[in-house]
Amino acid sequence: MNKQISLVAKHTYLTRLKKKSFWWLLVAPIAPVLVGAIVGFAVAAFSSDKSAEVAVIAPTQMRQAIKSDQKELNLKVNNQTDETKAKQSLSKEDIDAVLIIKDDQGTLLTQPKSNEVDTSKLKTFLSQMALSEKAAKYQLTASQVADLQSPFKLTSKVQDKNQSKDSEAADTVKQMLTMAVGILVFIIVSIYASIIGNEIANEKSSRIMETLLAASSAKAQYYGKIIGVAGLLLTQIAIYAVAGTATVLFSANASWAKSIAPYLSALTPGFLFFTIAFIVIATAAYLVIAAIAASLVNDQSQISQAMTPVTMLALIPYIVALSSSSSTGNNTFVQILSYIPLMGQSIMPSQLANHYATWWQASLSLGLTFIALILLLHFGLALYKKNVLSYSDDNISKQLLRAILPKK
Amino acid sequence: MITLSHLNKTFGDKQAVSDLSVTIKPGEVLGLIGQNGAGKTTTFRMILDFIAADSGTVTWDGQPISDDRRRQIGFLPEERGLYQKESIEEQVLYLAELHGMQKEEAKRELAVWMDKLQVVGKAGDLVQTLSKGNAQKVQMILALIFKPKFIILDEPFSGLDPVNAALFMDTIKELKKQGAMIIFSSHNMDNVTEISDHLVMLKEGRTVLQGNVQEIRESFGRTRLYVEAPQFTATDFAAMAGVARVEKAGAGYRLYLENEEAGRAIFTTVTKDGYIPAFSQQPPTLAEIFKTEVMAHE
Repeated sequence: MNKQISLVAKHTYLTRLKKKSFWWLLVAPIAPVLVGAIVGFAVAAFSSDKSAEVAVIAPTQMRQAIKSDQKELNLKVNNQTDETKAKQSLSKEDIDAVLIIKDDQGTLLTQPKSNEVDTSKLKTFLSQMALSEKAAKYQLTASQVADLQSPFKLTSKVQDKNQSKDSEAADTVKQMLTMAVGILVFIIVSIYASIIGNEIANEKSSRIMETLLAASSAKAQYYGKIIGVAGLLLTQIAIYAVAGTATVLFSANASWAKSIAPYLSALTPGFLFFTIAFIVIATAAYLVIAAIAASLVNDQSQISQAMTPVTMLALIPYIVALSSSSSTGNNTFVQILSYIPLMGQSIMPSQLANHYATWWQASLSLGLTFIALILLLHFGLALYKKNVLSYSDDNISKQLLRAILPKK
Repeated sequence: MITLSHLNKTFGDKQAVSDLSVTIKPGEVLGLIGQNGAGKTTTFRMILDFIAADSGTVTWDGQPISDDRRRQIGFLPEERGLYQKESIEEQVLYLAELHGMQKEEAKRELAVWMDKLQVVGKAGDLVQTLSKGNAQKVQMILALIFKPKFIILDEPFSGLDPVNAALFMDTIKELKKQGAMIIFSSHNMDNVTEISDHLVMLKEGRTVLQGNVQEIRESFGRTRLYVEAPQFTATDFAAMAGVARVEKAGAGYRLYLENEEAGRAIFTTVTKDGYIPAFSQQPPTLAEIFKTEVMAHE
């Protein structure tokens, strides 16, 4: 029996893995991010392609300083030093800008067709120059200057005896995380429920089911398919984990990585473990429900009808997760839902990240979800065995209710 | 030996199979006949444990059929179905492995069977590119590749042209010679007559006929007479004692006799002047018995 389950699981897994649709599924969630990054990089690269040519009308020392740093400032200092001639050149569009610095005041003149001057960088540079001049004027030491420049350090901490490490996550990050987990779980559940639904519906509609059952058993087919599809989900998570780790390792010093680092501070190993465990176990539970629903269809055309109750069920925690992403997440209704199997997977990880729940409470919720999965697997097998060879013209929901409810 | 003992199955108010008992010994072929909905497929499904019998037993050599042994049953379902987007080889190897066969052995056997059943195409071809007949051959290969000792074939000849039907018949005969126990259903009575040792006829779940094919035919008496006697007309035959009906059949006539004994008097009459080209007195065909039984129980 175990060999047959593994054969069915292997067949289900490899057949799907060989299909292009699986690889699209893998790429789809990260495609917008990748495209955004590529476009952003291209725009940045293109925009910095040509440096602006600037005539600098300033005291010699200042002019030399700008000229020596012109590469960092992404500009090219023009040879002109006469203000009137420089302005004439600007109006003829021979140069991109004229920078006039007099008495600690600076003016940047540009024309409509000018290449862009990075005023932010320029302003920072000029402020630094001015500061250095003033420091020299007041005879300040380098350490005094550095001390004056250091900003006030404010550290934000939430008092939490169970897990203070996560407490640094900003409110915005928490909200984003809550929404992200809700959306992610809903997408994963919908996609994988649909995969197993299609798998079973395809076999029922192609009438190969009798051949399969003669060669194995309903039990081997049922468990094998669930394991095979769950294997695809684990593969997807593993690929993301490897890609994510590689990105972190190779891009740790990149400026973009530094800029998003604060947003990732809430993604501790503990949080990731619980979230992934919730996703895997809850998705497996939804796979069971999808397998039961799909065992009722006659052909492929009924698959969307069969999957509707599954999607509707998955929609409840999704909506709760989205609506609780704001401060309303810490209320009794949401907290109760976070312990209910098939609901908790979208809510509990965010409760955890927001410190509305402790690790013990999350473990309890995970345990309840796992028990529900075991019960569902057992209950689902009986229904699958009963329905997989029957073909009825009745409405799927009606059939599902008839299959679930005890006979009168 | 396979033994079905007092099998019963109802679906709601409908009695699908009623008190069916039958045995199949090694090297025997059992034909299961009956109208659509007579209970043939339900019987097969009970043997394969797709559905549970309400009462009665199915045993193999006196023992209930275990899950492992059930996987050793070769089964061709009535509803043909294959993975359309997989190659012949992919799905034959997968199902052969499920039946407990080694992959390499299955690969070798597949080539042998494709040749034997004259499948047009290569093992790497996708099933969706196959004709209906070739797909049916692949389905037959799935049922037989692992050398089962017990084989269930539900309507194996439906949809086949005469050449391919003959190919399947030869295959069944060969399996029988090798000692396999075979049970099959068919609406083609000529095929049933040709390859069955025994038959069971079901009518609304009840067994209305059972036994050796020739014995069943003989039990209805030799009341069908084909005669070629040029000097006799249809009117002459109709006037003879014991003749119920006369039909023109090719170069001669087919006479339907009221009883078997009437044949002797007719033989004497038509041969009084000596040689006639044909005189063949036979029991009713299985098709005629089938029609008679169906009508008799309605």
